Amino acid sequence: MKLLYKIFFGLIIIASFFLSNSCDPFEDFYVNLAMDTELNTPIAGDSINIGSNFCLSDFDDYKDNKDKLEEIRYLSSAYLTISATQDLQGNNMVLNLYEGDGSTLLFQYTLPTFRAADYINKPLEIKITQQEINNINQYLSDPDVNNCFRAQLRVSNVQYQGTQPYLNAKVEFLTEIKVKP
Amino acid sequence: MKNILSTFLLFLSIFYYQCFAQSNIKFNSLPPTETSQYFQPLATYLGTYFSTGNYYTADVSSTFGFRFSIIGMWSVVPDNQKTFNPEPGLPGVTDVAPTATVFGTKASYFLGNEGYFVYPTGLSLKAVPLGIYQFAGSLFNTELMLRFFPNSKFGDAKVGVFGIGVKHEISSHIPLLPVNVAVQILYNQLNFEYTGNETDKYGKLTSKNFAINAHASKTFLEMFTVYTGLQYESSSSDFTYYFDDPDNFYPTLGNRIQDVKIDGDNHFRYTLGGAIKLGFFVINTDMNIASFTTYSLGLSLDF
Repeated sequence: MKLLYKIFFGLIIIASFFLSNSCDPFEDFYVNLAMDTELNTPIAGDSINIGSNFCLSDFDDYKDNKDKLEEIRYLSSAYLTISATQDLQGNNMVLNLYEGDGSTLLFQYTLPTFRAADYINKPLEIKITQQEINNINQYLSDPDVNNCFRAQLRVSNVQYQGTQPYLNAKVEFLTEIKVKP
Repeated sequence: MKNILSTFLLFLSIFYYQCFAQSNIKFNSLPPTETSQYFQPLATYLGTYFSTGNYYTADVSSTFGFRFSIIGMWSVVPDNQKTFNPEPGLPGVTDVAPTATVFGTKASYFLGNEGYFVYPTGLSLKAVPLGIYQFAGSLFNTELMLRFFPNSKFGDAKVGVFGIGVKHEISSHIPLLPVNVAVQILYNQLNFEYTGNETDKYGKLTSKNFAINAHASKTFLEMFTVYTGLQYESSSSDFTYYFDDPDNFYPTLGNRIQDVKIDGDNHFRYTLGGAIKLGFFVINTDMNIASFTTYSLGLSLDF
């Protein structure tokens, strides 16, 4: 009988050992990291040329998971006008995203005509090519590196009403980060 | 025994804070209609959890009996509980890709008037391991089972559990029946509330779970028992939370307390298991075919 008790408790201990060490209930964990950068400027002359730098470490979702990142990949991006001078418009809008060095181009998005008011409460989805997506993902391929970016907006032949022209805008970049369980 | 239940309650506290500590598990960013879809698998799981491990034999003592049990469970999260189809109800926003529930892995997003809205991800769980303890006393072929932990504070959370079950051995009235047969009715309630100072983290959950079953067992050599049962169960959760809407996607609903009632997807369960009795100790294991297929392993002191 004593032997049976020993076997009995031994089985419990073995079962507990296997349960605690080999049964991992967690799967890979994905987080959508929304990065936004504001582009604000008073406008001088007849063109807009504004830029902004940002890094992955500027955002809490990246910082909170930095030690467990496995992968980061690009999902989507959009432009929004927050506020602007009345009837602010122009030609040849160019939105560039560079690597942190400010010169290595990751993508370029162009519109022949630009009206700032069109994108208030109606964001412009920035559609880029698969090659440009690959460029961004290649740049982000090492999740341990705190990659930085520069967003640059240019508009030419700018027209507006009023005497103190300005543009407050925002560009949002959405990425997906894979986190170790 | 106190450590086991404390671990369970600590898990609930950790689970709640995990929702904030883990990036993007900001469940309080969802409007009420989508919160109910996000959390429905949790309501279902709690119903499955509380309705598991209630018996390992249909034989109830005709004199006096006492039992204390610790039950471990492993509940598999089915794929259909890991995603839901969001319907944000915002102008111009349609065809949003399926997104994670509280147990899911990948979250979806849409481009709204104020920019990207990112749904909260889930806990990326393929199974939920948890345990529970219970006491039972029996007299005249009728058993009363209790699960109780008073509302207690763990950090910034208050958690309490109450469960009661009554079982009667029908076969005691039918002496020639070759197996033991019993019927049982159960009610379990979980109370959880955030008691910290950060208003935007407020949450309160009351989970109510009901079950009724009939089960049968047969004991061999006064040591080995095989048991099986069919159970009807239902669960519902009342969830109160602060809907945090910093980008003002929902101006009439956001940035205030919301109440949601979530019905679990629990209905019927089939159980098949076996038990070994060695003196006063019983070890049992069973498989439960339910909304969440659950495997349990129990250890009991049975007098």
